[in-house]
Amino acid sequence: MILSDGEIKAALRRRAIIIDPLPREEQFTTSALDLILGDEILELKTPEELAQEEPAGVERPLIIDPSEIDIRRFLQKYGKPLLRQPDGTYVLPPGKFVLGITREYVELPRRSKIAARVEGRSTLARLGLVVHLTAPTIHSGFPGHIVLEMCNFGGFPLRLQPGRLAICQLIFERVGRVPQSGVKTKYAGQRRLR
Amino acid sequence: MNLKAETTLSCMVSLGMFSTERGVVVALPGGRTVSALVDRRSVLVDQEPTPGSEVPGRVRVFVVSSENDSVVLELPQAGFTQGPRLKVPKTLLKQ
Repeated sequence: MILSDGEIKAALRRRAIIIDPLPREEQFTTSALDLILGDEILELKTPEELAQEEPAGVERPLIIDPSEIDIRRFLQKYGKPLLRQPDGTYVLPPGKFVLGITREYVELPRRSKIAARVEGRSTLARLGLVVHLTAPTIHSGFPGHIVLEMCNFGGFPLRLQPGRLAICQLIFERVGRVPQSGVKTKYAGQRRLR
Repeated sequence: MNLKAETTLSCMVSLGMFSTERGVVVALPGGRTVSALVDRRSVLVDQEPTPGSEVPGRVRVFVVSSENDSVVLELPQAGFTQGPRLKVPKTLLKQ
């Protein structure tokens, strides 16, 4: 069952869930916790960029074989920071795939018997922003910042503000109760898209 | 051997993709290696790696089960090419 807002807060108080920095009240919804976009966004280099890094005269298909990946070479070879705007934001063009990370460190101690799932947020989804690709599970025992596989499937560039934008939500799973607060979403009761 | 629920495993540590991450490579008997990206708090090093370098260190792991001479461990994160669990000789924990 899914933990309600009150249960998540209780779990935070007894350190059954550890989140650093501690979430503010506005990050909670009835049955999830919003996490904020962290400072770093990385993009994978294009095949053209990778080809330019090959020694002159070398031509070979650039195919990634996950079963033979060397982590250090992979990190050095395929990733690069996404260009940051002078105002500190990032602009994600349509069709762009990047890796983001949450500002918050999340730890789910095993003794807590709590796991979680990363999900997108409805407003961002309506703009075409996907924040995870097929890897939503935060297993019991997990420690760390959560890496987000993000892609802008919409038609417009999106400006992303690290440290401010609630980029995803965490849904904690074990035993659920009636949520302590009412529904906050502005889409409650909607019947039409617009 | 008195195994604790959590222990550490010798590994090589490099910078991760993000500043909060570290790349770890655990060398297993037979020449096999397991690579994973883990949170930096899951890694113990005397000195932080610099870009392009790797340093010896230890990664925190959970002990899942213990058999005669081997132990099943769980890394903080799944490896690139396998899940988070790996079976290693107990002698590897002492190194």
